[in-house]
Amino acid sequence: MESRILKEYKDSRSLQSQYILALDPISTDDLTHWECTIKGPLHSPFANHTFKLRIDIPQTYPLTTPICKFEPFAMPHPNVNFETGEICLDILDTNWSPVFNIQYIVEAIVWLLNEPNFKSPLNLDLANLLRFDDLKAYHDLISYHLNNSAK
Amino acid sequence: MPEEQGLKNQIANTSNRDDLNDRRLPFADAASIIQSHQKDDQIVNLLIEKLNNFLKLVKGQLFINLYPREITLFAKMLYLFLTTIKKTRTLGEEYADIFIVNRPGTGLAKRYQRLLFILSYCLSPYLFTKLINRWNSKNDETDENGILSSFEDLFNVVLDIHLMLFYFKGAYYDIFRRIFGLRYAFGHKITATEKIFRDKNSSTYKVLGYILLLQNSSKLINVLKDKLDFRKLSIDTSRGEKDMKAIFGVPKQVKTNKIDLNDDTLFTFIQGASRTCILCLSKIVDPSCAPCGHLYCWDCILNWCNEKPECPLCRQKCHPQQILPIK
Repeated sequence: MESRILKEYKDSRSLQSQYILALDPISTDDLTHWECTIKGPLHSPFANHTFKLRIDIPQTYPLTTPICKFEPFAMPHPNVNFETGEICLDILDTNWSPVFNIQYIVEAIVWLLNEPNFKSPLNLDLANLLRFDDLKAYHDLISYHLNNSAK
Repeated sequence: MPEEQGLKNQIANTSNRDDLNDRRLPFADAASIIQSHQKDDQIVNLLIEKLNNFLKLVKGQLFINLYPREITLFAKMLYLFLTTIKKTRTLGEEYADIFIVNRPGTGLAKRYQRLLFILSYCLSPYLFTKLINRWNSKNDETDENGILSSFEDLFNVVLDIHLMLFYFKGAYYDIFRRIFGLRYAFGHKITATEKIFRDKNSSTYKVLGYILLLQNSSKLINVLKDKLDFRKLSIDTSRGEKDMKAIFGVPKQVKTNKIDLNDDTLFTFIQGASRTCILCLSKIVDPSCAPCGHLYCWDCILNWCNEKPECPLCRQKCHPQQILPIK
């Protein structure tokens, strides 16, 4: 497990991605806590905003999933709990496979920003707007939250 | 049944005479008793089928699905009440030409004996399982290896011993027949040639008895062994017990040879990126193959499959016992 994280750390140094602005361990002494900055995908309500992700890697990694969270009260998204930042994503739960690595998870989360799924909501207000296809209200509510938290 | 009446008279007459031993009908042997039971089982099954068909029309399929045990019980009792209680022979008994006598073989079995036998024979297994089910549902996991299961074991041992006795002696096929003293006797005199034939047959049943004896004694030895081992490992708590039930035979670590693909001369047929284990991101140690053909380290893939039995790459089913180490 130690050696795998070390390898992932080395790989992350040479990482180049459009949406992952930073992916670093909080301290190089302890590679089990990471912080990541992602950019909202273009053509999504999150464009032109950046978000911070906190990734905690359990001792049993890669047999069990890393725990990923957005900062509290920062991410208005149907599959993210607004108050805690908790993320509902299948590969972070039942569909986890040990071949996924930290970078892959972050990419999946960026993809989730583009492709919200109202069928497994953690933010009911947004999920309902999406379910009834009220896209204007959906976008407005998101930008309201985003601009609010920016202040 | 006039035939039955004749038998009765014969027995009654013989008991009045001095040469009682000479006139008494011989006890039935194991082969005929089993034969009659098989025939009876066949007929009871037929009865159950008919009863099911009838109930299906009257009460519907759901009723049959809800009370299969009760229907079986009813059919069995109906059959025995119509035959044994009326002191007539069952079809199976007629087929093998045997009939029920009392313990010493001096007369037909009394009606109360028959009644008690039928009630205990039909009802006790039914009530026993009901009791166990209720007990189990009450104390779900609190008393898993407690009194009840040991009682059940004891019961099974008693039944086995009884069956063994039957194979050796050929007297009472059913334990309740033994308790209430219902023996079988032949309905006819046995000639010398028939006696030789029957003796030969009963010797084959003795073989069965020996097999059963062997089986039970080996079981007993195992139980004793477990008890002894258990005493040695008494420090282990219930956790250890649970582990005992887990699958054995899949070693946690291969102790013998470590094949490390860092050595380029080994397994040259595995090339390039395939030499790296995607789970630990290092060169594979002890290359092992999932059923789908993907290669991993033995330890990596085994640890994952104990977590979730699927291939990490393609999610095809992969149980720990299906992983093949490549040597």
